[in-house]
Amino acid sequence: MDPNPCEHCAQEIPLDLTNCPHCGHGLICPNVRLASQSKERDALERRFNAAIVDAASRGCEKTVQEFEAAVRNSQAVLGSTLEKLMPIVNRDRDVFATFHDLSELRFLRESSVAGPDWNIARPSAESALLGSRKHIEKLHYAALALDGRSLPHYGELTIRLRENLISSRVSLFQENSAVYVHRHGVTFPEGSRAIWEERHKLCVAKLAGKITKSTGADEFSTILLQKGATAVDDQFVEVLVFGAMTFATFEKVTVRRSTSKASSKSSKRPRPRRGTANERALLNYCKIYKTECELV
Amino acid sequence: MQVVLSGRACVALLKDGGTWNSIHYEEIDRLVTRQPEEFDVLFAGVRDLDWIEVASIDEVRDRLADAVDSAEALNLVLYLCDNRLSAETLHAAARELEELVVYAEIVDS
Repeated sequence: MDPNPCEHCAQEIPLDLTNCPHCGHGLICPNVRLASQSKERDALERRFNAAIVDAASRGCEKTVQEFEAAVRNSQAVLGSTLEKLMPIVNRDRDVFATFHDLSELRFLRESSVAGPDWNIARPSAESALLGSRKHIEKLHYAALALDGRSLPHYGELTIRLRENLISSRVSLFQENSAVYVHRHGVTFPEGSRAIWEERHKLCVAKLAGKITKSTGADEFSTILLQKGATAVDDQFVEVLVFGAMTFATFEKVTVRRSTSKASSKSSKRPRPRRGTANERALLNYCKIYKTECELV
Repeated sequence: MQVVLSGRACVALLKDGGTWNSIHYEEIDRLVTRQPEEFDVLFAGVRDLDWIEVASIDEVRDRLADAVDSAEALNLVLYLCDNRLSAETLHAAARELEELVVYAEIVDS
């Protein structure tokens, strides 16, 4: 693993530490440090420039520039179930569960026999994104979005994250990293990840080829984030958030009401009202914590 | 058959000889093949584990439904005790709880 200097004391430190062993100063998160390496940023810059040149040759440079301007303001959103969120909603010190905390995510994703074994692909991807296995239990996953929508395979809630609480600890990968590892192995090509401030370059490098002269601005959100038939088929730019998240990290929660569990037919006891109190309680707690909430 | 179940996690893990399966409340008729090392993942973060011996799969489904409904009834009672929640929410919690308290086994638990 490449050594890096501590920003505080300038002593060299390994990438997988979160505090400097020499001065104790907090360090930039490992995923951000890896995405910040000059070889990564230079490679991303080359991909970005090549995408712009290609767009100019196709006569759609202006439209790609408009797309670039839009994704500069993109937000990190994640999908969740009410069951995952509710335990932290009324306790501001509880933290949001990660992949390694949580069973539901794994079982939601075991969608096909031919699909990835998430128990292998996800930790392998995390090791590559962090440079070691040391902190893999500290990663949360989100996606970049322009219109506040998330991917529906992960639950009935869409949670938009507060930019000022995540931007310093976020890195991005150009697609679902676990699916990438399943298909291509654990070596990520240089220039396929980015820091938050350069997410527009990653989006343009990946997606400019999908933009033509006739592409309208209203199509940008679907170009950036597209729901697939299953979670494996979803197309998005992955946002990796290092470290804990609490309810205060959430800027807005949107609940899709149509997926209420009241329709569960196999329940021993008929419960047509099941879940209604959870939804209303969520609205109340959002108000208490000044988190925007919407039922749709 | 040995079973571990959790109302909070909405899941039961079954060991029948060398075979491991799980049953999930939302798809209670489906039996999912498991490995013992998946225990931590299935029950991550929950403390309401119940270890029981049962004779049939149907009994597991029955006990799991009891555990989930009991856990959710407790949640609803906690909502009713939270004076920060709106009258509308408390009303919804009370109506939802009414669906459960008619069952003696839920009240007893």
